[in-house]
Amino acid sequence: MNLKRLLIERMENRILVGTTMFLATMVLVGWVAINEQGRMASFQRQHLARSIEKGAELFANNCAECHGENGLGSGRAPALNNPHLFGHDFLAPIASDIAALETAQAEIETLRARLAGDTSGLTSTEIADLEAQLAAFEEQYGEDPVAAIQEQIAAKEAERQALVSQMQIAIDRGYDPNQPSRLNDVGWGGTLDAFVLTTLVSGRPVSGSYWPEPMPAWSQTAGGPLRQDQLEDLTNYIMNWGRNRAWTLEDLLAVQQFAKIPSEGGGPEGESVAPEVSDIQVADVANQRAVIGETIARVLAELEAVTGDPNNGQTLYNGALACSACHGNASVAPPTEGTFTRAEETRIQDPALQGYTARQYLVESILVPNAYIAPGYPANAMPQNFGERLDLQTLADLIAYLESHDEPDPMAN
Amino acid sequence: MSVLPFPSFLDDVKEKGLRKALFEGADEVMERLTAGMNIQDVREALRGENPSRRPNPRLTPHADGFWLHMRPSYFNVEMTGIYPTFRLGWLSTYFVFFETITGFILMFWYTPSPEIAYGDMLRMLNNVPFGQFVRDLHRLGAEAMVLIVFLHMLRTFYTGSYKKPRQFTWFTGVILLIVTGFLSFTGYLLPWDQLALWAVTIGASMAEATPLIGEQVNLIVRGGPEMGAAGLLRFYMAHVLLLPILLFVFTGVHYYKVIIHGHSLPPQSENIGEDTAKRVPLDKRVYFIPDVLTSEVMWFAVTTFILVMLCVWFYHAPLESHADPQVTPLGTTAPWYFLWIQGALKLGDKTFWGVIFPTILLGFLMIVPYIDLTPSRRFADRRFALSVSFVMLAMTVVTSYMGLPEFGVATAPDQEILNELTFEPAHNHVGLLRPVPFDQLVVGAYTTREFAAEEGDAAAAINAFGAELEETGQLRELTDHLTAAHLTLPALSFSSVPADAPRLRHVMEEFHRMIEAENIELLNGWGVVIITQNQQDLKRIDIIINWQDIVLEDGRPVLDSNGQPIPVVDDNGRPVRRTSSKHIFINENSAYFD
Repeated sequence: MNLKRLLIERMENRILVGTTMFLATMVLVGWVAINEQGRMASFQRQHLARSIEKGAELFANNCAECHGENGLGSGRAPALNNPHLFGHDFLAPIASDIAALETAQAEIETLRARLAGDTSGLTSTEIADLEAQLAAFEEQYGEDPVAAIQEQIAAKEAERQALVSQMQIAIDRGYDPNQPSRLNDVGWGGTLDAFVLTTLVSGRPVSGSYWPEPMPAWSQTAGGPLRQDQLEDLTNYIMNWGRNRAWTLEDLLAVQQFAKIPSEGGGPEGESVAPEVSDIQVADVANQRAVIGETIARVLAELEAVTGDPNNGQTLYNGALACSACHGNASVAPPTEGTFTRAEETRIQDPALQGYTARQYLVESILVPNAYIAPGYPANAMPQNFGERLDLQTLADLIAYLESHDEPDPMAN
Repeated sequence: MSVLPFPSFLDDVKEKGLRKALFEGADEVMERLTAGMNIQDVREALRGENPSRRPNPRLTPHADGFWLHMRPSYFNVEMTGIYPTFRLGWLSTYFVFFETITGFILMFWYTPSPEIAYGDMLRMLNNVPFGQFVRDLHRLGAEAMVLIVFLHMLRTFYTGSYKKPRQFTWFTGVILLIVTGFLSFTGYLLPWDQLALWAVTIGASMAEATPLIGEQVNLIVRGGPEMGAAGLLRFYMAHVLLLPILLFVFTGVHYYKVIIHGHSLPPQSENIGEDTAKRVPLDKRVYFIPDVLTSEVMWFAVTTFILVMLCVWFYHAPLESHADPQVTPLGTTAPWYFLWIQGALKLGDKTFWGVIFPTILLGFLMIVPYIDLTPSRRFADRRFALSVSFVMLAMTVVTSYMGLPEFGVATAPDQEILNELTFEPAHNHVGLLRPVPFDQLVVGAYTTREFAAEEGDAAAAINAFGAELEETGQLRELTDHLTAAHLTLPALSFSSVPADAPRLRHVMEEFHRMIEAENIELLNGWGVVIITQNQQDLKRIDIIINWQDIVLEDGRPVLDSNGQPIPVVDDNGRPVRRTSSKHIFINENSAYFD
């Protein structure tokens, strides 16, 4: 019968075409398989690149205002285009050289000590071996290896000093060459990517106490404006400032502002108000009474000349000094609310505090917490070093805050 | 006595010898697998010979087997050519299965949640072997299926095959067309990129226009006032469960009806009013086994090969940026097969053109066989019906064209130009600046005035431009404008586009040409492109258009008696200039292609 209408009339041709096409399809799929690794890698690269572009846009719109257009920081937030954030240690090569030299010196000294000491327990081969080791050092460092090594160490130290002095601009802006890693400073155990991302997610609510304004939470999850993918774009952009180990001093010196470390840089920067009464233990209170009394009297007199800012006091109380961490909970420490009234109406009525004013009591309690332990609370619970950490203005601010927030919060009940 | 304590193959060996026993055993296996054809029958069939025994063993698989019971055992030879079916019904069925299989694979890699979906798409592309390939196949198959099903309907209409007794077959066919459209549309949303979100937002906005219950329909479709997590999940469930079930059920009904009535013959091969599909004369029979079967297997291989080849070299499913309800891309469109509705919407009332009009149209399609009762299937007798169909086809083409953003959507020319230069890859196009090779994006400031000048005067033109800006204080305005956009420049001086950056040169020429082309609305306009280094492998490109403000009315320029636009002047009588700008960042590895 005429099967022309089947397009391919002969059965064997149909089978041939079908088989060929099937094999061709298999070849093509194989072709895809061969190229798949490369394709996925190139897609990954391309996608990262485009993600960086989107991150750059987000950065310009949301972050540049505080962190600077080039990520070099401003007075409002620290630099991100910053060797400190990426943990680059400029001193590391010199430090490792010095360490190597010191090890060599120690080895020489050990060898000499053993040869000079009692060698009766050693065989002649062992002694020859020790001498050969010493000879090798002498060959390497000259007649007097220890002196030569010390000379080299001195040279390295000088190099290090020179390098540090080249960093002076950065050091003035808050850089510490001996603490080169931001992640170490804040005790972050994860990766830098994760640090950047989580900081973006949640912001830094307490950074308001050491920056003009706190870093807001950017994630929608945390009530901010950006989606997760946008935060990832931003992270990719920030991480793209990383230069592996190729950071230069110019990069460091270009940084306008370094991060602040809350525990150190977060507090006031003036002169300590009363270092002499810092760290007085409960047992010492009795024989330090005279010093304490004198100091508190001096501080009270000095406070007369200073006007406290209750708002700043509140910021410090809740932020950098973290007083509220304990004093926000009455079962841990005397509560913040009503502190002044309580001092006036309860505390100074205590015979132990006879003749105290409420203000005097507060100042003493801050500077020498152990001088008087409020009934029902443990001793040594409060840091003993506020005499060192606070300056006069800060103390005034704190007192002003406590005075102005004396009434219990009417909404509390 | 059997060799083993029960009757077994070994008894056969003992009785007949190994060779004969093996052969008979194989023969029996073949006969069971094919539900009736032994090895000899299969060999004869594949050789194209006539069956050597009676009754014809090639009919038993249809009678006794499950898989072939739904296929006719022979076709009319008139039906086996390209004409009249063009294989369109077969292709539609092919795509039903093709899409089911590829879609099933994709489901392993996809989570219908706005937080995860886009990340899943990326993972599929960068971390799943064959991920992109399968996605491309599924997407290409989806688009092809819509087209094929539509063509199948056209063919059925033109050959008059919807007429008695096949009215209901046609009716289920229209349902299948609608289901296919919705399947494609619901799948469109799933990648959760800008393309998906906005195309579907446009489509779904029509639901809101439903009379009386619009708000409720909208809520049911989107699961909330905005397209979000609930909406995505609903679209997903519709795409993978509800619609496929409808599709399979109606495909079954449709094919059952096709077989019950027989494939309708070409109109000229039977008398008017006659339906001889079920009575195939002996000399016109083409048996399913072997001719149609081998033909179908061959077409299966050919079609699959074509799809695979297209997806390897020519087609990749689009994936744009992550969906962002706050950023509406310029020139958003519905999927192409819904452009006709988008076009119709531009005609006026949303409720009428967006809901009532398509409903009437599809309703009309469904009932066509019940109102067109003329018996003749020949073209000459169906002038009215054919004319109506041509008018409707033409209307579809015109309204589809009207659905394009080029039609009737007015955008300010400065925005249009900025978009033209910078837009992210969409619909296989990309803004002019993006594909410029990274090393040709030479840091510097360039102006279109360079290209307004005569050949050789370029340097003078650039200097004159710089001086003009300085003199009129526009330089200050420009730097202030850039500072507001977070680009602080120590100094701004313009230079000529380097000769070794031909692509950048080309873009600047185009930029100049586009501003010139709008010389009424962008009166005395100039453009500036400033390229700065942002990170080691990242450059920032700022594009600024500045022009003299003119009097506008309803967004159109007011012309004076000489046909010239009227410049706006400030209180001191000086012309007011306006600035519009945009910036993008380009990474060395972004690999944008035009």
